[in-house]
Amino acid sequence: MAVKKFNKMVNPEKIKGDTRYGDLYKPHGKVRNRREWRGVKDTLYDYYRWLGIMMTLGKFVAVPRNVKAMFRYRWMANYLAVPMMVDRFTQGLRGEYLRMAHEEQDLIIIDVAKLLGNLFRGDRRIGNDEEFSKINVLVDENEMTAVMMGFPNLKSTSRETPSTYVSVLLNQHAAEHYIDVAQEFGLAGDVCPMPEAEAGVSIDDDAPILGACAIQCNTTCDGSLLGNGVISERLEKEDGIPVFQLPAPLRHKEEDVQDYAAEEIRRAIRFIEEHTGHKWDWDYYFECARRVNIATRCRNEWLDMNKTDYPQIFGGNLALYTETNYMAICGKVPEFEKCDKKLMKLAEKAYKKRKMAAPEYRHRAIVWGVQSHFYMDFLVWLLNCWGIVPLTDMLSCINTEMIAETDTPENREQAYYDMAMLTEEMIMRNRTHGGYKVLLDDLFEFVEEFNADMIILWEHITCKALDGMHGLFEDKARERGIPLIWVDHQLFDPRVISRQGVRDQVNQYMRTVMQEEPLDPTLEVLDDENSW
Amino acid sequence: MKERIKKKRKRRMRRKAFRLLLNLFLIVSGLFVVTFTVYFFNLDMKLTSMIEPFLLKHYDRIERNQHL
Amino acid sequence: MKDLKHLIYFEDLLQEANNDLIRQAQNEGMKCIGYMCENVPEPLLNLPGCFSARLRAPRTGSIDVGTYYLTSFLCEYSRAILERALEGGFNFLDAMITPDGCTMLNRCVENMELLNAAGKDKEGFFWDYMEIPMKADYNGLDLYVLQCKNHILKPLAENYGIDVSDEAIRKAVAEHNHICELIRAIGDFRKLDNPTITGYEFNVLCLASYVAPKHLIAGKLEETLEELKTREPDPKPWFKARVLVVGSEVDDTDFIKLVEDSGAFVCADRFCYGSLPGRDPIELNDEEDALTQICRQYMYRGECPRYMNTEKMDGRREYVDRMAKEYKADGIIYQQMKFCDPWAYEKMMGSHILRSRYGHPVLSVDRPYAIGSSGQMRTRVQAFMESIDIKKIQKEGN
Repeated sequence: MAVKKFNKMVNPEKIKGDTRYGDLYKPHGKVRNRREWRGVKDTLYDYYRWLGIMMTLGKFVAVPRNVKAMFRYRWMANYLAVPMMVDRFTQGLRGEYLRMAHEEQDLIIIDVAKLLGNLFRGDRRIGNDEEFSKINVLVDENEMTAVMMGFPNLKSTSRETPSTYVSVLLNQHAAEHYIDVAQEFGLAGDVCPMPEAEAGVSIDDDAPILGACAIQCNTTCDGSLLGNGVISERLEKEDGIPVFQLPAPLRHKEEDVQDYAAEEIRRAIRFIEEHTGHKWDWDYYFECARRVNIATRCRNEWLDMNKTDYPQIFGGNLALYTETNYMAICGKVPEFEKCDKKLMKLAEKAYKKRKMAAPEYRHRAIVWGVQSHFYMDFLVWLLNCWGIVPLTDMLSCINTEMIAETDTPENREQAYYDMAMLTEEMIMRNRTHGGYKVLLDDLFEFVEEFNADMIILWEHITCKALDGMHGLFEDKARERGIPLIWVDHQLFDPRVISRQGVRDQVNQYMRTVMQEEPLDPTLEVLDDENSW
Repeated sequence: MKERIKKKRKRRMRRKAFRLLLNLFLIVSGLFVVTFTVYFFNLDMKLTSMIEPFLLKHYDRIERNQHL
Repeated sequence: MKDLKHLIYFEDLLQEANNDLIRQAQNEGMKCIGYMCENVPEPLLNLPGCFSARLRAPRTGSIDVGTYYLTSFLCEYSRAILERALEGGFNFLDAMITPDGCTMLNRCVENMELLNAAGKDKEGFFWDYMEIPMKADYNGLDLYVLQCKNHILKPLAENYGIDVSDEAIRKAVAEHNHICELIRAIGDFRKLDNPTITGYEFNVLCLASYVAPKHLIAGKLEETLEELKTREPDPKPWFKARVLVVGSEVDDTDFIKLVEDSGAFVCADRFCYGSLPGRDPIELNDEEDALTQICRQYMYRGECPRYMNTEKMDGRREYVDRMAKEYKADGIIYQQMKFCDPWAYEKMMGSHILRSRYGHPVLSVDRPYAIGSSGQMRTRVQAFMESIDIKKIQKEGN
């Protein structure tokens, strides 16, 4: 079969300011030489948003207990790199794209700062506010927080989100210490490093201790399910925090598992009520459900836009925001609704003007698999270095259906099934589990729908669910004549495959198979091994 | 006479306001120049990257109850 | 000790996935149902007219094609099974049922299905996948029962006309229990101070009971049990220490042999497809339907690490402690097949807890699917034997 081709598109507008982004990197450096020059208007805008981030950080360190926590928890050192994370995700962005990135990222920073503040306020080692601790329900990092949509006065608090998930986004080396700790205690080195690092935090006595109770979920994989067992051992037996294990069925597309899933949701809610003394509030639930639907509608529209020649919210702008908004927020924070609407406006404005985010669009790609967490800005690199447009990534291909949002007796019953559906189809597991259709067949349907001419397939080497389809991905891509680039990585551990190792896999394919030259050759090889 | 005094006062006020604005402008511009320099030359990150090794040493010294 | 009369016969059954007894049963008109995870209730695959065969890939050599499809990061068991399937080694199957137990086995079977690696041109052949509970409680039981109905009983009835009535299930349980009782009775000889059976011999017999039709293997097992009653042990025990082997899937009898050749006696087997608790008989009453009772017992007794509720997690370690005491183990070997996620965690937790909380000496190892005669493993087991020896001497000295 002939190889599918896409006619490259050239941006009629010249990109203002720097265009050789690799020059900003300092050899062997942790940080960059200087920030990007984006033309006067965009540089000033970026500067203004940087000031805002500094204010958020300033407010955070003005609270003494937060400073105390900084000196207690190793993972807190990663938060020194917050502004740099934003720089990495906004590389090469101008105009609306830059504004979209800041709208999202700055809000996420505020939200994480709030989460940290809450953690340390309730933490027995730091703030030790016992009353406050009692209104916190601990949840997993990778967990859909749908069961918290009916508790307006409780906080769903994840200890793993700031200690491992966000930390690795900030600093590629953040999880290494915890991975080593877990392995010192005998955990095999071939399991997924995400639950491994989370277990390492618990073993290393580096997790804040707070909360009335905890809801653990089997989230994405066998490793995640078993890693929870390590955490709960300490949480329940040492810290005295009761744990409810919420099993979300793996074959989530089957009708005959939905009653089971809904009943587990009911039980989780009862457990929270019992341990916190707070009652489920249907008004608040449906308010959150309405916001979940707004987010879904917006995401659907963005994805529809990305099917056209002028995609707008894609790559890094789509991936990170979707993960946060869909799972951790899940309709509970009104600011995200506002952000959804702002993003929609910016996207529509750019779409009307037929704007492009790079000097050239050479390939339209579906990015599939589990992204390398220590290099999530790889999507930005793909665009800037090779002109490959990451139209959507697997983790953004989540629920597209509306859930019940008006309060009726029938909808109250339906709500348990909706929460179950959201939990079963949380990010990553909605594709890595549920049978081969959602992982294998859907990819090639998306390729058609998005008119893509390339697949970038992240192979998280210890993600068994994904590895288990390796050969079939390759066979199918070959049958259909779609260039498929494998990008191996070890999710949280850049010591196994470095960022340059990740880039080289694309570089080699683009040069040898596609016979192309990079759009920005300074980005092809970067000395960022020591970088945050 | 009264007119002259009024004018003088006005002039003084104007001068004061001008000076105030000038000072404000100088402060704001000074702040802008300083913060923009920090921003553009990535001095914030350069500083925090120097702090990190000390923090890591500190964490290594903390006694921990390491167990499963 | 004198060799067991039927040992070679049982060893031969383990040489091929499609062994003589499977062929014999199929010639009798019975349907062969393949499965790969102990969470599939075995009696339901052994209803009148069909029998179960646990998939193995004996004498595995190259697994290159399996590795191409599944990558080198999936456990070698799943890769070896896929390789064998692609070689046509499972063409004898009439159906394949697998639970979404662990991801790797599930992916292995999905690959087999998509690559059409079994059931070609076989009328009625079906692939089916089940959800199994991750917690042992009333909700999990409802799910288990429903899944067994929809993904085992229904397709068996529809595709092959198998009788799936309560009466038929009870008949299958009776046959299943007979085998379990035989295996457990044989296994009890391991409790003797000077045992009349080796861990290797027991492992061969137990494994054979999973890969051959029950009605065809029962006779030889009965004879072996009789033989063991009068079997003369060696004047002195041949081993340095008694060990309980715990962990993931073991269908390679060479592994147990290697452990025993290193000076240990495998006195108890708590691994997937071992006898503890896999060969516990299923007790049925007349008040409740048989299916629910089977599922309940599979769920509550299951020692699979994918059960995530605290009672089950704690129960797994308590069970190992109990078995270690019952079978008078001097030490415990926690083994895990390399790349097995569930057992990677369970091995870490179990080995620490059994050591620190229960005071057992524990060796924690990972291993390939087919171990052959690994010098590395031998050295580790020998070192463990010595450490147990030293501890014994110290204890006696005190």
